[in-house]
Amino acid sequence: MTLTLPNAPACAPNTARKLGELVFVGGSGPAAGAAAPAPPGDVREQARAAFDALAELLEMAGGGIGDVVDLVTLHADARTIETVFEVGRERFERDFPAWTPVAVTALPEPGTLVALGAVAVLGDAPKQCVIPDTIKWWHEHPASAGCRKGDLLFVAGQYGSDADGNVNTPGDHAGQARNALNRVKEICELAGTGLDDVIAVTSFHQDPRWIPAVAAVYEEEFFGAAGAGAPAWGAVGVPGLLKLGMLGQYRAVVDAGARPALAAGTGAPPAREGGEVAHRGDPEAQAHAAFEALAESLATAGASLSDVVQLVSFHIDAEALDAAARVGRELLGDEAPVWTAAGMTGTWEEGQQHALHALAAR
Amino acid sequence: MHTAIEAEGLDWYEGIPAAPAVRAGDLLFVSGQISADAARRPLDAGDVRAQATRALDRLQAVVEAAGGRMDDVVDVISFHTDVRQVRTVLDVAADYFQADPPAWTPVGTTGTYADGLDVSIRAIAHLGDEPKQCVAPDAVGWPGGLPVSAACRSGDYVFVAGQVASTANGAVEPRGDHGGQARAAYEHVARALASAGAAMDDVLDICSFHLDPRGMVPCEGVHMDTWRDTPIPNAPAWTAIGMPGMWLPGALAQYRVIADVSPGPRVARTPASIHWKNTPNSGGSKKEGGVLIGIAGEVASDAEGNVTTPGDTASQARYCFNRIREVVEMHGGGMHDVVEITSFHKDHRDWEIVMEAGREYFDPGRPPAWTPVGATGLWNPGYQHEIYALAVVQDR
Repeated sequence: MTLTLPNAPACAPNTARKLGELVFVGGSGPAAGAAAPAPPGDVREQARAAFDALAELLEMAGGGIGDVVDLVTLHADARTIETVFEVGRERFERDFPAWTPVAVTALPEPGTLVALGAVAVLGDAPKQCVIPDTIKWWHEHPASAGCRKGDLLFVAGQYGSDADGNVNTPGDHAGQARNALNRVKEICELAGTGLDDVIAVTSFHQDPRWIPAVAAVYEEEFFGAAGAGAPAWGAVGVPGLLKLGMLGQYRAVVDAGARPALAAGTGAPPAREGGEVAHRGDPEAQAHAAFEALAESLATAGASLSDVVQLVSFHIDAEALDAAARVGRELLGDEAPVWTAAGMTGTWEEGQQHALHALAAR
Repeated sequence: MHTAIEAEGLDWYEGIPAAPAVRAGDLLFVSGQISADAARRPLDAGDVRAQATRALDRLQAVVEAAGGRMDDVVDVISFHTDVRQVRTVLDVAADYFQADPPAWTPVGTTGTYADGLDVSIRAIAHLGDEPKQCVAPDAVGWPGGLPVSAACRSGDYVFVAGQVASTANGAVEPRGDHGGQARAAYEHVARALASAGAAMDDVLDICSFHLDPRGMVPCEGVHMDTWRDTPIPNAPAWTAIGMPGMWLPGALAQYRVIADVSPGPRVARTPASIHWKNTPNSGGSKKEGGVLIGIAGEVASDAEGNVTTPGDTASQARYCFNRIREVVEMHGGGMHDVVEITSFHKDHRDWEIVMEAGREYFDPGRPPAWTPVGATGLWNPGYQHEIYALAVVQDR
């Protein structure tokens, strides 16, 4: 079931997709057009409008803001994260969602300072929110490090930091990745599950050129090589993370169910060995290729494009959002997923213009 | 004596080691003008048209305070937090520049002093009596009606606006090919220089902006190729920066150039501490008979190219300033000759730490014009800053 808020401003989510007790909230895709302008220049007001729309959509779906377990906020400038946290404190009294804030290079409508995507789990199951002592500085924010309800656990983007929030191993991307992924593991275990149940990892990097160094740590020490049974991993470069000196951020979606409810997939235009990327410089053909790759990725988890309920897409050129939107609308079918789009500084290989991250029903 | 120029209403620079503008002879270097209050918080947040108007008003105020007119502006780089707003800013600028507009390079940035600042406009004006000669952008297929020249000459200086691989009908070719686009952009640079009566031998420095920092690698090949016949002691300076958007969709790189037709060969000075010393890319270059030095974006790398102090924001900045000092001194000048700094930061929030470090290097009574902006990538992913400077050596 799809619910919409046709008059939501550009900074606010306008679509919710309900899948049983799960509700996915986000935008309706890049360059959707009809959005009202966001309150100009005021990130606090934009964040309030976004949370208002989130609450309204969740109420339409039969739940409320207290059911939110996962929140990703995309910021036009990393310096606005604290302000949006303050707005979050107005809305969440306790049992905070796993909250991943990240700066991006663009949002679909110029002038948008913040956008959000969320997952809520309705129903009376208890919500388990964890912050390990190894990162007790997280208590400063209206965010849980991990938030579980039922079989689903969302792990908020972890950094390489010590318990007080100081950045670990300055300048060492692989070292920070190791530290952050150890926190992901610890959070999974605290929430009664483990890395084996992780279905998706999204990592954000202050420079996309560090992704290969991180991949070595990721594969050798944590998740193994890509393939059947491995999480769907999407890695994108972004212009800023929460604190100065943080080089990477790692979030995870964990489905601990005996019969998992969700499948995860990622897609980017294929790059051959040596980095030669298909359809160089053609944003539309690359969008097609990225969706094809996403379909293949989902197929390994038993899902297809028409099962996608939540799509988050990253694009290296804000000017190419329209092309991606056209292609996506054509391929995703009638019951479109919630779709949140943003600008990135790059993904796996130079020349890949789009990176798609999806959750689908299975 | 280089002099700092101040003007009414420009109080954003108070408390930081930056002057609104510095005049050196006929050249006036203007810091990135922003629509901000004294605390550098945005005025008219969310209204790019109003912000562009205020920034241009301030540019005009400072140029006039130096005794010049907007007509004297020859070079502009505008940094935009969203390149989809470039056109709006240029529309506003059309009211400020009628005939003979400056060589204008619009490029994306991840941010500057504070969130909410949509645009920062830095400029160079030439206040001499010599007529200004502008090369129309038609030759390079840019959209008409914009206050943009492809190149602008005044006196001995030629400024070439950021050239992209545009064709006569405004398309970008070859698509998706960084190296191919760099080559095409260089061809436009050469043509624009020739139209303005200059040659590649007159180029002091090149600033290239790249949509993906990994695209700088093939562009290095193009640079080496372009300058392969240039002896290392006569090389120009090159600053290559990853930025989140080019002004023309599909463009992967843009090349902005400063040339000086003063007599004599181009003189390159490259300290042994700079790892690219054995390539046709100087630490800083000046014409033998000229005074302007274009200094390559300095970075925190040792003589072998290793990142000096990974993750140490202030130390990396000091390392960059020390290299700038070395280059200027090799040209017979000193830090007091540095007239303009454009500092590119992997994390734009670093600007404050870098300016604090910069205080140790500049006379508080006459700091340089300074424009700090965020970049998506520098040559080595471990570099936190790249600091590009211009200096004017003085007779003494």
